[in-house]
Parts: sequence; C-alpha cells; structure tokens
Amino acid sequence: MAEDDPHDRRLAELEERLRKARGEREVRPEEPSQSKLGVAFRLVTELLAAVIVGGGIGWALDRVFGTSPLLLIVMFLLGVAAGMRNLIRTAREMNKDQGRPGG
Amino acid sequence: MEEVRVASPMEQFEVRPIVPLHIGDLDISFTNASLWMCIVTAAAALFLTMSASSRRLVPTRMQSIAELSYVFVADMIRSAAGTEGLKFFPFVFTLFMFVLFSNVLGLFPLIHPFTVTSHIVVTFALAIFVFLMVIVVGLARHGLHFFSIFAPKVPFVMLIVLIPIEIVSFLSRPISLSVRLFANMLAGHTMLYVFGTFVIGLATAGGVLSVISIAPLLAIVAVTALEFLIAFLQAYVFAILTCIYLNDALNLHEH
Repeated sequence: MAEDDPHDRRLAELEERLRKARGEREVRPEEPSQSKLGVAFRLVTELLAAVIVGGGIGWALDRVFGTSPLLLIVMFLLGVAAGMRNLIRTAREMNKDQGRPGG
Repeated sequence: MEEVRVASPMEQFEVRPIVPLHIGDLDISFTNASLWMCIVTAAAALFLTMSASSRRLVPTRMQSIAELSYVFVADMIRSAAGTEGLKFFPFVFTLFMFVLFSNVLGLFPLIHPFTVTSHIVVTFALAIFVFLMVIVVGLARHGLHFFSIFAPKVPFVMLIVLIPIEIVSFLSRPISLSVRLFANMLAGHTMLYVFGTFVIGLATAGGVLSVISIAPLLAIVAVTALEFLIAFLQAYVFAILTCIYLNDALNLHEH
C-alpha cells in the first residue's frame, strides 16, 4: 500500500479527526450530570433501603418464630452490611460513568 | 389585619375520591390520583403519536422532541444493558415517559395538578413491577442458574456471610428505587408550598415585611426551575436503574 499517497493520508487524517471529534462529544453524551445533592440522596436511599429491608425481615421472622429480638438484630446487621455493599456498588457505577468516554 | 388561612403543605398530596365506588369493604373509588394517572398516560400517548404522525424528514420541533426522547432512551439501554437489552425498549420507554410526564405535569401551576409520583404506592408499584420483571427475565434466560447472582466469586467460607447480604441487597432494590423517586417529588412540592406560604404571610404582614416578601418569591422561581431539572433527572434515574437491573438479569456476573 502506498503510504505516501496523499489521498490515503488525507483520508487517514480525516478518520483521525473524526474519531477525535466524536470522542470529545461522547465524553458524556446526554447523560444529565447529577448534582451533589442528587448523588448524596441516591447513596442515602441505597443504604437506608437495605437497612429497612434487613430490619423488616428480621422483625417479621421474629414474630413468626417468637425469637424476638434475636433475628431482628442479626438481620439488621446484615441489612447494614448489604447497605454498604449497595453504597460501594453505586459509587463504583458513578465513577465508571465519569471515567469512561461515551456511554 | 385579617388572618390568612394556611393549609398544611401536605394537603396537596391528599387523595380524594371523585367517583366513590365500593365492592364490599373494598374501596375502589375513582380518585384524583386515578384521574391524574389517566391524564398523564393520555398526555404522553397523545404527545408521542401527534408529534410523530407528520413523519417529516426534517422534523418539526415537536417531532424532534419525540425523536430525541426515543434516541435518549435507546442509547441509555444500549449503554447500560447492551444491544440485547433493546428487546426491553418498549418497557423502559413506557416507564420513562410515564414517570417523566407525571413529574413534569405535576409542576404546572394553575391546573392544580396532582403528582402521582409523589405517592409511594405508585412508585412502589412501578418498582415492584421492575423487580418482578428482572426475576422473570433472569429465570427464563438462565433457569436456576440465575440465583448465582447472589454468590460472588469468593472462597466458600465467605459465601455463608455474603449470600444473605447479597439477598438483602437484592431485595432492597425496589425500596430504594421507589423511595428515591417518591421522596424527591414529595420534598420538592412541599418546599414549593412552604415558600409559597412565606410569600403570602410576609406580603400580608405589611410594612417592611411586605417588601421582604420578594425574597421567597424569587426563591420559588429558582426552586421551580430546579424542580423541572429534578423531574427529568428522577425519570432518568428510574429508567437507567431499570436498565442496570435488567442487565444483571441478562448477563450474570458481568460487572
């Protein structure tokens, strides 16, 4: 292939420019940027939901088995752990969204 | 000075029956909430069919809004759940449009709107639907292997602790999904109302206080603009999380 063919070179240059232009535009195409409050709110609900679900399951199981408050405590702690898990996962997703170019 | 009757900021969220209907003890009245759900659905359907009906090559403003929302949701699904996720485009698009329209229509003044998404029953119903859908899709696609999403790839001893944690985390999804949307809408509308009572309270107080009443009025304008952003953002968040959850069901362990 003729490397110094002006047509080929110009085509390659165009390709390069196109890719650059697309890359710049695709940094965050249409994704609305979350406000700090929005991010905080999202993280809080992730944490709280898991704690509520964990505690709720524990409370319900306690009522069924009459072991109050043993299962409530255990499940509550599990809920906190699951909440942390949610938090980390969500935060990682958010980081990924910010870091990568394009969708 | 006359007393200004200030209703509770929560009054705007009250569900009132329009056509009372009862089956035995079951109250199935047609309420203002039902009415606004119908309005929201009709408005979204009307908007999309009307704006897309011209089918011009060079779109009109309305048509381009409709096309933009289509492309927006399609891109969102593709990026979060891959090309395979596009099978669920109708589902996600409907969900997105419903939430978006109820959020936005709820913000219009003068027509005394009722924001259906400010009620946890509504958002939770939507979220539980997404949740069940994810389970059904996951089971249909992977069979019992679907349950391996509860087991991260770690040594066996860890699994004893981690599986319950993962299950609780999975079960918490519909809660966080619904609470986020509902709380945002509830907080926004309450805030607008409270600022509104400040304006009336200060303006009728007379003297210097009447002059100060311009401050909360300006705040309302700013907050309303913010609320429109939040209305869109929350619809987006609801839809993108649906996509992320669907992705979990479609492609197990691909993080």
